[in-house]
Formats: sequence, structure tokens, C-alpha cells
Amino acid sequence: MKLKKLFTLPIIITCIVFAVLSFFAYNIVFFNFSTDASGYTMTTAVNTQDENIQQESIQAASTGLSFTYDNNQIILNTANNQDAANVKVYALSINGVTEMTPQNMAVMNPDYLGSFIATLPEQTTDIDGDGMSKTVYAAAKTDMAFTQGYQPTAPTFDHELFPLEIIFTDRTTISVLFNGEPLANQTLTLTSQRSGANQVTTNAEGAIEGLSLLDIRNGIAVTYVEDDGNAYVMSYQVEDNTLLSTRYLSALTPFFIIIALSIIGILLCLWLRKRVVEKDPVMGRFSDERMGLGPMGTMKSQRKFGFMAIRWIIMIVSFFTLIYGGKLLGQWYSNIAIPIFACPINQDQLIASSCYTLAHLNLLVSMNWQEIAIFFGSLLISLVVLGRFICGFLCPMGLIQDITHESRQGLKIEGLSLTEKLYSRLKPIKWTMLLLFLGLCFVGVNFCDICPAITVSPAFAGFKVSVYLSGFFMIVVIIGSFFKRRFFCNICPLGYLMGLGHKISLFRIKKDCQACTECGACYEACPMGIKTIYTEREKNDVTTADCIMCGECIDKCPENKALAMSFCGVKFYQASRKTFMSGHKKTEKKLKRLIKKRDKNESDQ
Amino acid sequence: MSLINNKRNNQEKNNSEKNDENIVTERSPVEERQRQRFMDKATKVSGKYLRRLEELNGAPAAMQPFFKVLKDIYVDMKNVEKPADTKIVGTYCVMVPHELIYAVGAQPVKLCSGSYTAFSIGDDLVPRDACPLIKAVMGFQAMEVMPIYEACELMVVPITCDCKKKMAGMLKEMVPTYSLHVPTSKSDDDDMEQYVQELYQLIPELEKVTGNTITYKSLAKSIDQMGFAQYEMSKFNDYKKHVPALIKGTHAMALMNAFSYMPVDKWSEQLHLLNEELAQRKKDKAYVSKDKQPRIMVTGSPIIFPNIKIPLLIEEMGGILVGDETCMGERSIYDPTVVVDQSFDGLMRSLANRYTRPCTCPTFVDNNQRIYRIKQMIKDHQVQGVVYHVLRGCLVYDFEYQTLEDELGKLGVPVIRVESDYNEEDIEQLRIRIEAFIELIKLKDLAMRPKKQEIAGE
Repeated sequence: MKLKKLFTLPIIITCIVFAVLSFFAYNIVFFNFSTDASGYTMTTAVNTQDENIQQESIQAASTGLSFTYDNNQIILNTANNQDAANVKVYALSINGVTEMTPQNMAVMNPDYLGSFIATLPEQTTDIDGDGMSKTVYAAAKTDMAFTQGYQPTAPTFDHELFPLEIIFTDRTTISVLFNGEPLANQTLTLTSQRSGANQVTTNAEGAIEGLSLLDIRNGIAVTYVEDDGNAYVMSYQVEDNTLLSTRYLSALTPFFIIIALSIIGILLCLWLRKRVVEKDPVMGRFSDERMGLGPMGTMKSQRKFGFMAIRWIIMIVSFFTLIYGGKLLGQWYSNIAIPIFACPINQDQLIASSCYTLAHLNLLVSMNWQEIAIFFGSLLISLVVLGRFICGFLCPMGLIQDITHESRQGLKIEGLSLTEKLYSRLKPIKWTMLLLFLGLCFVGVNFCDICPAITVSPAFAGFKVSVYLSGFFMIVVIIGSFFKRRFFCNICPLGYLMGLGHKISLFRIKKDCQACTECGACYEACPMGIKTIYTEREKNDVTTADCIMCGECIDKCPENKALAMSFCGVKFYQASRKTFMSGHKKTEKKLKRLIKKRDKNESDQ
Repeated sequence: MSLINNKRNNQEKNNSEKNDENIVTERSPVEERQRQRFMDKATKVSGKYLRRLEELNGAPAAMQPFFKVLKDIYVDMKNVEKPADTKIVGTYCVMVPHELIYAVGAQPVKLCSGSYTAFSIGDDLVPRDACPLIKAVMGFQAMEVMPIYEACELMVVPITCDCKKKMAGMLKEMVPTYSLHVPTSKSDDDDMEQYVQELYQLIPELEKVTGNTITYKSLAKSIDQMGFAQYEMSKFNDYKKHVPALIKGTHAMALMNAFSYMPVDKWSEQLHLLNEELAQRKKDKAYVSKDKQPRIMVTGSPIIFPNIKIPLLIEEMGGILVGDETCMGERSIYDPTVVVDQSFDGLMRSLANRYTRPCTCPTFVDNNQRIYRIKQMIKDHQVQGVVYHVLRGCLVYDFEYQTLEDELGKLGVPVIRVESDYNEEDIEQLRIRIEAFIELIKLKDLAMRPKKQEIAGE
């Protein structure tokens, strides 16, 4: 009977439609960035013997050969005209490695996969200054931005072209191949644009450890001197995304389109509702007032600064660190993955998100046991230590939704209040989302193509990521969260997954059942519609799977110590009537002044 | 005034077929004398209780304006203090949002009455078993002498208990009345949603009274005004929690009664002054009670001036009244409006929410929260005994007595059920019972004291 109530026809249809749509998500293109090199041009530039340039670019000094990027132009820097004439450029394409002609350097072939290598004929110079001339083989490699990310294999060239190769995998490791084999336990000279030349030793997998992201982004070169005296130099440049450039803005294009379409959608909804409300005999009169079109006023007594302000600060800080942290600090912690919808396809994040692995569970097979252990370990730790505190305080998706909600509050536009029944109806949708989230990878589709988070985080970091169904879904999410606070959180599969394990989380919402007057303010304030928070009269722990720890209920609770948020049993934020009413202190001060003034006037007379 | 009379005459004309007597606008000398007698008696009784209230020692100086309001209304038979052209809207119970009335520029007056004289008149108008509150209201309405009743442009009667429901029907025959439907239960979300609709329907009726329309601005302002009153009230409550007491509970009740007849701004201003005086008392350690005085709490049927014999008896018999969980007292203003959504609809929802969900009126089907509320008050105010006041005929409160007695029995807090009527005949009987109750608490306390000391000693 209960199940029958839960699965009503519209809900089932919604679930099925969503499942079918998600199956064809990849075919529903919202905004496509080219994932080939077309649109780019490659030019060869000769660095003149200008001292300044020489010093600026250490690579140019040592090998004379490197790639740099200027918006849609790939520039191949050479030391002199002779080199420029002799350089051979190869591209990785669908058909294997092809040599590039001047024609397809000007107009790139769409077959190209975005990795290029340039080689120079052997030279004999004294590169390390020890007075001995060596045969030097110089090359340069570059990877375009779209080649980066969660690729099973990093782009690798044929080693017959050039024996030494730098491979940049998974936005984390630089490894060196020599003749197709990892160059293990060898001493190399690593020249980086930022920190100069250093002697480094590769590990058993041929990877160079302890490299800063900023070094890699600015261009590095590796020099390997073979025992027989041959020296191999390769410079490497990954296409970097500079903030606030035209390239950055073009990466943000889908996001702007989403915002524009959402605004149109919201206006349409408002117009439709106005038409409906106007016909209502009771409400019709208030249609303007409810739209927020009447003369505006403010609630003066509302508390301005409090716990919620702290939450906003944490949310904004977390938004920036999650999205730009890697870029700012030059270091990321890709091993640590917390369950958060800060899209890990953004490669500048400070930490990875478990959502990628959870949405690609089939990849677990290809991971080694240590990686799996670290993944589940960090998932478990973040579940215990943070739990859904992540949702309320850290998640960038949460911030986006809160901003849309606040903008409605500012405009005084009427929202949408769901009732208990509607909230309970969401349960099948939540489970469908969870099922799609975990299961789509096994049927050859991908949750990332649906996930609305993909439109936020990578775009803000400047990564051009093509958007499929997720773009449309994001529009729905923004319109939804405009009218209903934290709309997406109510159906978020990752949050719900974490919520299912809420019992072991250390963040709790506590309630003093006797102090509660059942005024329902917490329920009205709760973005997740948790009713037990005010009806509960037995247990003093009112944390549920849905609770996102936003603290809104405590903020709105007028009873002393009735609600509290605790961590490890320590109540660090408690409801209090005094803080609840602190907005009136200003009025009281005004009254005091008034009374004083009046008394003075009376005594004067 | 003439306008109202005309209005009433019109209405009476409409009803003239039913009741021919009502057409008579000129009163006969007999009736005139009867009215005069009624007024004399009513003012005499009110004056007596006001005197007893003032004579009860320990009244702060800042209480005087509140006494004056009660005197103006009940002894001098004046209208409420208000700006000249402000219209008055009469309300009953605690479910009518005062915010909405202030938002249209009118002034609410709570008309629930405690007059003994009006009760005796009303006795003939309504069934014998109806509650005295209704009888008193109907008595005043029939005598047409009280300015606060006469000046009302509209009466808003929430449909709560049976008596109120029938009263609304009877009032409709005499004055413009709007019956506000209050949901009978609170547990379902739909109940609250329904009340939001009810409030939306109430707005046009209120707007008709003043001709002003409710705007976002005016509503936000009135919510702020009421919020400030609640802010001062919560500060006052904190002083009330102090042991030994800083203010007598009877005075606090008079203060809450005065709230019904004062503009909210004035009231909160006076309360602010009172709070300052109490703060001074706290500093000077000028307490109105001794350490051992039994701390008593009153709950149950409303206690309305001049029917304040029970709080007076408690404090005259040596108890100190610390808690007040009645709808004419603390409950009417205790719960704040929590604005969650800043839109106009959000404000309306927050009002509907504030006037239904936390309301501990026993007319709601599910009202367990009242017991928790009382328990919490016992804890906050360190209450040693509870006086459960039941007006004769007030069934809804009587229903809840049993559960409360059981629950408080578990806590070891003695409860006494006191049934009273709007007359002075039962006063001696009440005196004996309350005196015995206070003695019981004193003895209990005496018996417990060594134990407590032992615990403290350990």
C-alpha cells in the first residue's frame, strides 16, 4: 500500500524518461567543443639571438626547440633559421603518426588527436659545459588541453621517431620513456621554465616525482645523457588555460548559455504562474505582490551576520579552492578523493572527487589494489569525518544553487513550497538517480554526460569540456533551485549515497525534544524538507539521510538549545532565542534614544 | 460612532423579520436604568480587582501605564488609546494574526472578556453550560456599553472551540463578523497550507475596514513591530526565570492583559522600561519573593481581567506565580514569526505557521506539545506546583487535564485542578484549596530540603 502511494504514475514516467534520456545522453549535444585540432594553426617562429628571450626561455637556450601556445595558435619556437628549416613536425592522428606539411600546419586536419612532436636532426654541441662535445638529439612535444583528463592511456608517439618521450598522465605524473620502455632509476636533467635546471632521478616506473603543477604548466625539458655520450633533449608543453583570456571565456560559453536559457525559463515560469494566479479569486489580487513587483520593503529585524554568514564564507572559499586550488598552490592531491560534485574533469582542482570513480565503477578492475584501497579509504574517512557536511558547506553545486535561491530572495519572488507528500514522492527519483549514477558505466554509458556539475567546475577553471544532456539538466537544476531551494540536492545521487551512511558520520543534528515547541520553523526553513526534525519527540539525534548539515534549522530555531549541530558530540552551534532575535537590538537602541530625548524635552519644559 | 450605528441599524433591519425587538433604537427609561446599573456594577468590580492588583506589593513603577490601560478600559469605560482615525478590529483567541491588522492600518483589540457583570447578563443569552467567557462577551455585546466592543468595525472570530463557533454565529447577527477557520489539526502539512489560504481570504475583509491595501512593505513593517514586542517579551521572560522572583506573576498577567488593549508599539516601549527596571532590581537584589516561597505556575483556561482571582489568591496566600501558560498570557505573544522566505507569500506562510503550529490551544486534535511546553516551563522557571485552571464549561482544557496530571506525576510536580466561574461565590472555596496546595508544596519542600542539602554536601 505504501509502495503504491510512493510510485505514482507521474513519478514512474519521470524516472523512466530520465533513464531513457540518460542512456542516449551522449547523443543529446548541448554544446560541443571540438576534440580535435581543427581550428588551431601551427606556426614556426625563430627566436632571434636576443639575450632577453634567451634568458627567459631556458629551453630555447638548451635545445632551441619548444612549443608555446597563443590562443588558437601553436607556436613552434626554434633557435635559428637553420633549425626552422630542418625541423620536422609529426602529429598523432587517427591513422597513426603522420608528418605534418606546411598546408596542414596552417589548417589542421580534424584527424589529429592533439599531440605533436617536433624533431631536429642530430647536432654536435657541448650542452653541459664540460668541454666535451656530444651528439645531441633535440625534440619538443606538446599535448593540447582536450587530450588531458581521464584518458585510459596518455598520448604516446612511436619511439622510432625519437627515443626519448615525456608522458603526462592523468594530470598528475610526468614519466619518461626511452625506446618505448620506462626510463627507470636514471638521473636526468630537468629544466623548468620556473625553477631552472635540476638533477632528478626517476623512480621504478620511470616517473619523476615531486613536480609542481605550475612547473609542468609552464613548460619543462628533460635531458638524458646516454652512457655512450649521446644526449637526448625533449621539451614538453601542455596547453595551459590562462584565466580571463578569450580562450577562458570561450570555455565558459556553455555556462553562459545555460544561465541565459535559465533566466528565460524562469521568466517564462513567472509569466505562466502570474496568468494562473490572476484567475484565482482569492490570490488573484496578490499576483503582483507575490511576484515581487509591488513596492519593495525589507524585513529590518532580520539578523544580518551569524552562522549563515560563516557558512557562506566557507562555501565561497571552498568553491575557489576546489576549482582553482591546483592552479594556485601548484599541487594537487589526486589520491584523496572526497565525495563531492566538484567535477574532477577540471584538472586544476586541489583534490579529486570520488564521483568519477563511482560513476566509472567498471574502471576499478583496471586499478591496482593500493589505488582501490586509497579510494575506498578516503571515501570512508570523508563519510565519517564530514558526511553530508560536504553538501551544505563545501559543494560548488550547492553554492550555485544557493546563489540562485538568494537572488530570488532578493527579488522577493514567491517560491515553491513542497509538502511532505511531494518530498516522499522524490524517493523513487532519488533511487533512480543513484542507480543511474552507479550503473550506467556497466551499460557503456556515462553518468558524466548527465551530471550537471560538469558544466560548472571545469568551465570556471577554463577547461573546454563538451556538454551533453548535462547542459539541459543544468538548466532544469537552475530553474528548479530558483524556485525550490537546493533543488538538485534533493535528488543528488552522491549526496544520497553519503546520506545512506549517515549513521557513522560525526556531524550530527541534536534536538532537545522538551524545549521544542513544534513551531515548525525548522521544517519551513529546511531545504530538504525533513519533517522529523520538528515532530521528533523521543530521540535526541535527528540526523537523517537527507540532512545536508546546512544549519538552516538551527539558525531559524527560536528556542534556547532546542536544536544544535554537533561534531564528535561537541555541540558547536546551538539555537538560542537571543541570537535569533538579535536583529531587534537595533530597534531597541533606537527606542532608548527616543526615550532619552523625550525625557529631556519633558524636563526642559 | 454614527457610522457604526447606521451600519448596525442596517444589519438589524435585515434581521428585522426574525427579531422585531431589535428595531427599537430608542431605549425605554427602564432599559436606560438597567444599563446604568450594569455599568456601575461592572466598573465597581473591575475597580476592586484593579485596586487589589495595585495593592499587591512589589509592583514596579513601570507597571503603572499598564494598570492605567486596564483602568481606562474597565473602570473609566474608555475606548482604547489610538490615533484619532484608526479603525479598531476586534479579535478573539490567539490565532488571529495581529500583523495583518496592523498592516492595513487598523488596531487589533482582543475582546475575550473576564467581566463578572457581563457574565450575569450573558447567562440569559446563551445555554447554561456555555463557558463564562462567551457569556461575558455576549453580555457586553447585548448591553452596548463597552466602547471597545462598540467601536469595533469588524470582529474576527477564529473557529476554535464549540463555544467560539456558536458565538461567531451570534455575533454575526449583531455586528460585522468574520469567522476565521482554523485547522483542527496541525500534524499534516495540508492543515498549515489551508490556514495560509484562510489568511489570504481574511485580507480583503480587513482591507474593507480601513480602505488601505496590504503591501509587502506594510506587512514587513508590522511583522517587525510585533517581532520587537516579542523581543522585549523574551527579555521579560528571562527576568521572570530569575530565582528569587523579580516581579509578581499577577502583575505579569496584568501586563499581558494590557497587551490586548494597547497599540503594540506603545506596549513594547512600556515593556522596555519595565525590563530596565527589572534589570535594576536584579542588580540591587530587590526581590519580590523570598527564597522559600513556593513557585507556582498557572495553566489552562484563559485568565482575563477582571477575573484574576486565581493569580491574586496564589500570591496573597504566599505563593509566587512564575509561569503562565494561558492564552491570555504568555502564549499569545511567545512564539515569534520566523520569516524563512522573503517573498510576500513567504511572509504569509510564516504568519500562518506561527499562528498554528506552535499554538498549544487544546482545540487542536493533536496537542501533545502543550505537555512538553509545560514541562519545559517547569524546568526553566523552577516551578514547584502547577495550578490547572478550568473555567466551568471549558471542556477542551478539562480533557487535557488527565494526561498532564499523569505526566507531571512522573516528574513529581504536584498539580491541582481548580474549576471556577465568573463570580465571586466560589472565592472562599478557592482560597482554601489554593492555600492547602501552597502549604503542601511548602511541606514537600521542607521534607526535600535535607535531602537536597545532602546531595549538595556530597
